[in-house]
Amino acid sequence: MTTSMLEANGVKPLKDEPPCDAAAESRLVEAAKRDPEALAQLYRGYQPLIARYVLRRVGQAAAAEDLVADVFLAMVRYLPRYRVGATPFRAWLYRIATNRINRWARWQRRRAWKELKHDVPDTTDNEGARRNEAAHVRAALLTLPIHFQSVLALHYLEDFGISTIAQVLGCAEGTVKSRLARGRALLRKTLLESDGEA
Amino acid sequence: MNELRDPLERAFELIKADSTGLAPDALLEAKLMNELVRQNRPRRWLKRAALVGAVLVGLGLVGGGMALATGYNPIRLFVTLDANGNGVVLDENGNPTDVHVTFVPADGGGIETTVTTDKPGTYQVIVAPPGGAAPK
Repeated sequence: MTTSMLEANGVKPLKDEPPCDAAAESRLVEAAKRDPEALAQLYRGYQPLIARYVLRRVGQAAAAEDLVADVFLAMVRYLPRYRVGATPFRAWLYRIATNRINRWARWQRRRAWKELKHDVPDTTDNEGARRNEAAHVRAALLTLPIHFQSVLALHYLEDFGISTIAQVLGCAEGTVKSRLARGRALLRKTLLESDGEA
Repeated sequence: MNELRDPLERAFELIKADSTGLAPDALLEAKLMNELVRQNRPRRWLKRAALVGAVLVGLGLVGGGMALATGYNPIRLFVTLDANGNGVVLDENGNPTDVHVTFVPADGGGIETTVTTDKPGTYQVIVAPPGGAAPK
């Protein structure tokens, strides 16, 4: 299927952005189940969002690249089962990304605790100082239970609202609010305690 | 509540500022497209199952055709005999045809026999294949 054939079927080629029109996105997703060109367009549209989200959570470019590849391969594998209208595609894709990150995060928790206990090295370089502080916050986040990490990351790093987070995680909005409140308290306590130790 | 949130928002802003993003990967894009093509290819076992099914259906058709050709199915004719014993075969609508019936003794001798009756009416005639008794 060429680009002109995609256009003939009502799918407008977008330049590295996900479709902002729900109907256009639905058509693209349905086309991507069969047509490699439509799939490539879907990838190019969502890669910046997912890559940014993964990198913010993980903090390491190499690990983030592997996870992003894992996410999109899973997207291709599960795409035939995705039903337009059940869950928004963006939420569905973020769910795959969150699950992959959570799997990675489970392996990182012990290392995160060790990192938190180490002093943040002093540096006169502003950029370096900011990077160190970001790593410190990321380590603190990684020490939390996984379900708190997901909610906090989606809310603060991706600026998702309660209902969108509920769609991504497949849980009730009340559950999201509860986890957000408890996660905030726990993260704040962890950061204060690690700053006190430093 | 705002006091609780502000330090966290500042903390997460640090993470946001530290993460610029990753460039799209052309190799990954090609891999995804290949994976889709591979996924949409009909499974080999499905092809084999379809082939076996087609062979079985074909054998069934051939077997059924052979069974019909050997004449093992009994042929049931309806014959009207008049008072002179002349037999006229009727079609499925009960209309007389120009087919005459030859009656064969039950022992398969093959001798033409004329069955006579003094009772006009409609009779059912069963014709058996050569060498075999008429089915019950």
